[in-house]
Amino acid sequence: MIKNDIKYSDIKTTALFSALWTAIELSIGTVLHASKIPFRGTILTIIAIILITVSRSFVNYKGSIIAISSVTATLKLITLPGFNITPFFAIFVEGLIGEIIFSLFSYSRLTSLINGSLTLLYTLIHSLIMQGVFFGFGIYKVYLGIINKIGKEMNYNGEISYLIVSLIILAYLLLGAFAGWFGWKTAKRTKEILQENPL
Amino acid sequence: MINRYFIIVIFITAFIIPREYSIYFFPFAILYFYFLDKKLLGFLFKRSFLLIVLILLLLQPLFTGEKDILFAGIKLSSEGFYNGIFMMFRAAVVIPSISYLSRSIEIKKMQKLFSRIGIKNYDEVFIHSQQIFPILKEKTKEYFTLHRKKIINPIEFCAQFVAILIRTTQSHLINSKEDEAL
Repeated sequence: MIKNDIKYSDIKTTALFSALWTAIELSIGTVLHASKIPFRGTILTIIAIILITVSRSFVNYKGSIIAISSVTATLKLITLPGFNITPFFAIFVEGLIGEIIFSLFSYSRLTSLINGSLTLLYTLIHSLIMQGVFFGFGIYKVYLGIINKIGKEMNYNGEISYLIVSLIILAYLLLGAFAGWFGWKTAKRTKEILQENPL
Repeated sequence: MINRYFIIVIFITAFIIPREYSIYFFPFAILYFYFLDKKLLGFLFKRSFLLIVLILLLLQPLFTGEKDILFAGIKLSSEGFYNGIFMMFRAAVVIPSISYLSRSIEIKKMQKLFSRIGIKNYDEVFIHSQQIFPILKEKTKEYFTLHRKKIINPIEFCAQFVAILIRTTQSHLINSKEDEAL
């Protein structure tokens, strides 16, 4: 009976995080989309990383994050009209990365940082993959060619694209790690608040 | 239904067609989408798409490939220019194909797929998520009105918010159990 109670409360909490993620995607996502500001996907992924990290602290059973992300992806697909298969896929994969990291290793500050880094790195790769699918994979050569040409104009010896790409990847890894740390810290503080004032 | 299969064929063709034959294929495929649903081509006027087109048609011939033509005193690569046109047309066919096909996905089939691939408690989480929405909306509005100033400390702000939501969910759980007992 007790075991069933715990399981039911876990499902409820899992549903809470799904609903919260969906609400964020629908509200902040719509605002960002309308504002047309750059890095909209990155901003939404940072929020998703925080949410995934916090959720795993409260629903620490295998499959919880993938359940949260698949429900969020489906709800987003239902709610918004038009071309939504790209964010659907992105949300699902973000959950999948979180699930793999937190299932293979235990939930800790370090795994939160790793999960954050890898998830945000995926966002960068995701947009590049989609551009490759739409325009052809030759688009990467175009980007690298343009960057290298600019490097040569700036009298840089060698191919500057290696440096630029490495810096972009490093920036995404660091930003993702920060989001993971923020999520971990928030989860810790939330637990303290709940212990201070239990229901 | 016929349109769906036809678009799958268009989509695959766009991927495999060699550049020299593309001129006979892409314009007709774009016309097909235009007559099927004009909205499918709406992305052609989006800033993000136009920016990539600008890179492909202007910067690519300017920075890549062998410069073999002179335009307004600037040396350009014809290879880069034709490559840019090919890539632009390819996207103009691939994007509406994916858009149309994703529209025709049945949500119920998607839900069944998630349940079948073994996502734990997918159906229950899905139902409860929809039930929680009104409570979430109410609590969020209340929290952001009362505690707006706490945003200076983002961790505390987020932690308090999550704590309120978890407490509300748990009390909702207790209440529903009491109702069931009655």
